[in-house]
Amino acid sequence: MGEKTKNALIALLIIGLVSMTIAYAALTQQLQINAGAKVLNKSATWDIHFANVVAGTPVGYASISQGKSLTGTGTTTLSGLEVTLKAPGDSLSYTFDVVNNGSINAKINTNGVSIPNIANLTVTGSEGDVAIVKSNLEYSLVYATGDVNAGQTPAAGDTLAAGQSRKLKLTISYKSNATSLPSNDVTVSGINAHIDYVQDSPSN
Amino acid sequence: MSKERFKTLVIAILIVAIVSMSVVYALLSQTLNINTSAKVVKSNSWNVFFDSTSISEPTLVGYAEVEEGKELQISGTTTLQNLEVTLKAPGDSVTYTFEVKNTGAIDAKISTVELPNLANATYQSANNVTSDINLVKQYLRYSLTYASDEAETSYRGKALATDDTLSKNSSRKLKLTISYDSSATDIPSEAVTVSGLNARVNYVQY
Repeated sequence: MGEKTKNALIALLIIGLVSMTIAYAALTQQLQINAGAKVLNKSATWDIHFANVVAGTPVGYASISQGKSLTGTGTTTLSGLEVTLKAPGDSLSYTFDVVNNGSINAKINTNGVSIPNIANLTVTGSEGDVAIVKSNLEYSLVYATGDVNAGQTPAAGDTLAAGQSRKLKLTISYKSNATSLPSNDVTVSGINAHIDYVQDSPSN
Repeated sequence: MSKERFKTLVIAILIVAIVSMSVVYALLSQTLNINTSAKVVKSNSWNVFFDSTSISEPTLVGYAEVEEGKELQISGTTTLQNLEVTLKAPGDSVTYTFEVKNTGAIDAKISTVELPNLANATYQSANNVTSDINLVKQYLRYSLTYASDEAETSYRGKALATDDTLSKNSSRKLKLTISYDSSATDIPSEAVTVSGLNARVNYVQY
């Protein structure tokens, strides 16, 4: 590498570092207002995860398929659940906490909530069965009873302060006013939701 | 340290610094995932429907008529439709009986019964004479009850109601009657067509 090239590269890297520092400082300016905290302070932690995953009482003939309960306490992914529904009105719920165990306030990012639309999922089966299931299977993810936003779907801007937890309720059901069921068993997979949390301003 | 080695070291440090800051920044967001699936079991567990073979011939009283091709028909298994009756005099009526069956493996009960609101039905006549329409609104009658020969004696003649049961492997015989009240003292001066006489009975698991 030539002398001039190295000089140019050093200059470029310094500019990059300074730019990122400036950008980063701008992003953390509010932190500094609150406590004069150092962004890179090693005591600051970022830890958001699920906890206290509890199955509710099934309604009607709903059940959890053998060995397929919802798991993932302590992690950032809940998975494994398969709900079996047999009749109109069947439903099964789970409650779980979203825990901010870090020291940085969090909030749901813009466009940070993705709730599955059953009608748009790939369902395998006969045309008639697929139509029946798509029009009658329901999915709900809301804040649970006791939360200030109970009954509401998580939304962009919803806060999760450092040390706070919020309880969510997931429900999968078959419409109570459904007039038909599929002629063969239909499994709907890929009913996936996600919530993106990002750092929020420090509390005043 | 030579000038050459010093510059190489500076470059390395700067690269590490930039990469480190990128990593720190990337960590401050978190995606939480909830992945599930559902299985809907085939319909032999839940099967509540109208039995198409149970639809009776209409019982006509007075001058009542059911035009050919306008009889009560079944569509699919859960909808009865197509009926158009003609009533000409006070006391005229048309009655059908039919059965709702539960051949599934789950007991059922009625959660809601929605009968047509005659005041909100659609009334039309050739000249839309208000007095004629009001007359029909006043005297047209609609009734959906259990039949007089329904097997469960306590249900006979009773209007369908919330929590009425329909156990698995059982049926209920229902009666639909559309009539012009026998106490009416007048009939419209021209034919009045009434549409939107739709009823809905919702069964849920018991």
